[in-house]
Amino acid sequence: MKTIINSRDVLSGLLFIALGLLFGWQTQDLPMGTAVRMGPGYFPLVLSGLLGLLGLIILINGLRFPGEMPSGIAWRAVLIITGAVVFFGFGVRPLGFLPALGISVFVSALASRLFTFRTALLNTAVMVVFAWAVFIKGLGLPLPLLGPWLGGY
Amino acid sequence: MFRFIASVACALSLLAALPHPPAAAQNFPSRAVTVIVPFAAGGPTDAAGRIIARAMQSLSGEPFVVENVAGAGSTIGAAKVAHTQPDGYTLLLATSSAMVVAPHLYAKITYDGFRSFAPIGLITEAPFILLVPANSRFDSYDALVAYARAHPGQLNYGTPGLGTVQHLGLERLLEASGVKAAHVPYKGTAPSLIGFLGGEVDFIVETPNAAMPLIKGDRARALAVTGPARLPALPDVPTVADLGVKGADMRSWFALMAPRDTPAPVLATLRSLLERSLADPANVKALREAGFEVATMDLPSLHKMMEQEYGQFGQIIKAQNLVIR
Amino acid sequence: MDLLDNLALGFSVALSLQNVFYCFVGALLGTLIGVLPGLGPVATIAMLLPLTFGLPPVSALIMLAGIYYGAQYGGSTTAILINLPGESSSVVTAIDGHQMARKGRAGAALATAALGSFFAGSVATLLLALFAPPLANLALQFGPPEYFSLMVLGLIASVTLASGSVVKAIAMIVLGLILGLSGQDIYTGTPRFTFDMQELSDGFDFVALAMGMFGISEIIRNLEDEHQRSLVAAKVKSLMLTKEEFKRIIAPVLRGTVIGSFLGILPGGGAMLSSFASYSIEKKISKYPREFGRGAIEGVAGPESANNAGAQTSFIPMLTLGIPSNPVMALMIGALIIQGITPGPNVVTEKPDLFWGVIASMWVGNFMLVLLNLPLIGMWVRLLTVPYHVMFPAIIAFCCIGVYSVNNNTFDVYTMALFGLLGYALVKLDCEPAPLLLGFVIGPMLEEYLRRAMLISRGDPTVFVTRPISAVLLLLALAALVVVLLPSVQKGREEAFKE
Repeated sequence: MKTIINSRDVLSGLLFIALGLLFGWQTQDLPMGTAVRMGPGYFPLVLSGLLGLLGLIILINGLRFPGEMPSGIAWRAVLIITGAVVFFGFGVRPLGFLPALGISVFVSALASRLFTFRTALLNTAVMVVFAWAVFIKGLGLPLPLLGPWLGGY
Repeated sequence: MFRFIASVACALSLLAALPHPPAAAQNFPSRAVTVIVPFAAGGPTDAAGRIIARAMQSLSGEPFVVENVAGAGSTIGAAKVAHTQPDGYTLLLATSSAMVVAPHLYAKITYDGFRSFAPIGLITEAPFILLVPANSRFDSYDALVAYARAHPGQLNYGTPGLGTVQHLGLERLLEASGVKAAHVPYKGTAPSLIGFLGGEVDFIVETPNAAMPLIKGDRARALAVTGPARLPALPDVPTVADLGVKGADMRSWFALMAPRDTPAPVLATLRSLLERSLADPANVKALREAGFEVATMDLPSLHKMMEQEYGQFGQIIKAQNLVIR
Repeated sequence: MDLLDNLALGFSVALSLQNVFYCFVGALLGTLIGVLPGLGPVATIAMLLPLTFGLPPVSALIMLAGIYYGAQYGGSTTAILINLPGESSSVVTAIDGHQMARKGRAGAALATAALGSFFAGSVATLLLALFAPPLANLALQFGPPEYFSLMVLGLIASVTLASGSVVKAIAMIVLGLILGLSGQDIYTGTPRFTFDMQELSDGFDFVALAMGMFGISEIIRNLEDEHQRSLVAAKVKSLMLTKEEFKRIIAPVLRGTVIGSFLGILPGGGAMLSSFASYSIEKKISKYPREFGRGAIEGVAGPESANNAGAQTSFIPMLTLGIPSNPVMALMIGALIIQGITPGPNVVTEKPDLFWGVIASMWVGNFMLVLLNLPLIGMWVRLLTVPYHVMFPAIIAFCCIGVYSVNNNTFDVYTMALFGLLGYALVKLDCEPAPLLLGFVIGPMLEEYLRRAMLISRGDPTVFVTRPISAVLLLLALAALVVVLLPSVQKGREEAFKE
């Protein structure tokens, strides 16, 4: 879809400006020092300013030239995949390595439109066995198989 | 809905409470013991930890697994052990940075170097060696001090980082000698040694295991030893006390620690395991080849040493205003 | 001649039945573990380290070296097949290698990587055998000003990693620089960009960042249009290089070898720049600059050779001074210490069998990798025919395991998820992630060297131009800046004329 402005440039310009402001604001409490005796805040502030400036250039360019809208966003995949990863981080200690891994694999399989219950279950089983064989048995990683919530330690 | 969540949470917490019978000391250890090394794999602390873990594993028959939990000047690993289940199955390879330096250095710290841990025992202790590059104009500590006094702030010294024992100890030594030099921090021991060999700094202090290869390879010269006695390997190098500098001893040490509320019988088992490991000549030899001399110390003396260092490091950190928020 | 005697000693050690066996086991294990997404060389070696404790020191080091090349090669394989770089050097390989795989040339890309690496590794090994001690002393001439100028040059060159807008590429580099600064400032201990989280006191983890920006965001993007994604797998063409492709990789491999060999010697972060440097040079002098970013074989050949040559010569500081120049070397030194050998400047004279044995085994190891990997290419490529909806949950699982196991820290897993989201947003806005990763790696070093140079010179900024090596590097950087900016200025004019 063509638009009068290049909305990808406009949006990325805005994103960079926002990040520049965020990081610039974060350097507020840091001692600046001088160019000769730089404090811990000097380099970060210069870079944050530069990022904001570059964002502004991209934004202005985007307003001047026509371009395309970003194509459709895969919201379903965004939510499910991120959720699966976060779940692994949350579950690996209380639930243990293998249960957390299995649930994450199964959940992330839901992100596909070609999801079938059988394939996903099979996939989960294969991954759990594989991870157990390689990482626990083979490499001896110190990861608890079952966490305290499931009767392990 | 809320009641459902609450009941699930309640059930889960019950579940969490269930499988923890009071640590049965009579058959400790009955499963793998984790030794947390609060530094990245491959460093000297890691090496010492692995040798000790291997020795205790062969004595107890249960695996002693080393887990590296590095970060934030070793406080992340130490905090992890301080807050773990005190059942003797998670131990800490403690160094002075976590126990007596970090509590002063970091404003936000979730453990206490003394009250959060129960010591199992000291493993090794070593002085530092003051080094200058082999082509340095200084052939004695006195010459170095004389130059520094005549040219205040002109000499540079390198350390593996801000607030490391090397940094704080050298500051104390310089203060006791009445001179000042500029601190050039590096990101760890290896970069600091590269900077030293490249002539970026005028002097450093390092432990024998890092310093001896450089001395033997004619890359560096030893000017002083920061321990109470001369090193057998360097009989001609004076101690700082020999040079008339008082109260500037510094050392690096490793000890094994358990969380504070570990049951006494479990602690006793662990202490005896460590003691027997360190008495075995094979382990003494393995540690020596890795650059560490086994040093044992009864627990009151260990406590006294830590308290003394805690006070001394606290003074320097306050004087230099080094607190990290 | 001494060298021949020494090499003969080395090969007699390296070619003993036992050591050939350990070299093979190391290369094989390294490849197999390294090929799993999320597990780069550092993670792989850290995991496999305990396996070497029971071996004699020379065998242990030979096996570790084998694991190192194996893991590095395995990492390139993953980068090419599923666009997932496990370390900074394979970020570059992923750019064109994965595009080749999408066009059905995965086999050719993998073969190029194997052959280029072998050639570069052999040359660099010879260099190591001939000149290790003088090269180490040369490397020590590089002080903070020189490293700073080198990093500036690297940053400017990295703009070429992107094939789209130059301004966006620069913005991505700057964002990477900022993210790289997160953590405690080494000169004052002040926490910066840590958002009051203790876990960030050492900054973001590279693996978490790379897995998020590349791995997770790529998966989400592929799930937008699964139909198209499955088609990629179907059109696997022949596995080997065509005659024309072979001709095209010769010069990039040679140039990559030279670049990698020299940058690898520098212990303060040179090796990491080698693949980036090689890529920008190839892109700038190529007859087909438009193919770069769309599957140019030179974009695989040059960086892979440079990377492997650099990996080889980065052993120089370790073998001659006993000082590790990267985390992998640090792990190897740790293994040696546990074996009762404290490496130092005297290793060459005190343990000639170790020194020359390891050098010879590097060549043996590289040779084995080729033997091992050329037949494996068929298998890797067949992996691509696994339907994507079956493969991606497995990739996510490995990313999680890999990221978690680096520091045993769940925080890194959350970081990966966050950067997955950011990476997806940026890709949707036509911002390519590769320059960001380079900025992330260079950022902290750039500042560290700049401030150290100023600290040691007592605030005199002329050190950067009065020291000859630094001055030359800055001039090169200036030239690179002109070369990088010129096309976009011209393009800007063209666009203006179009109005």
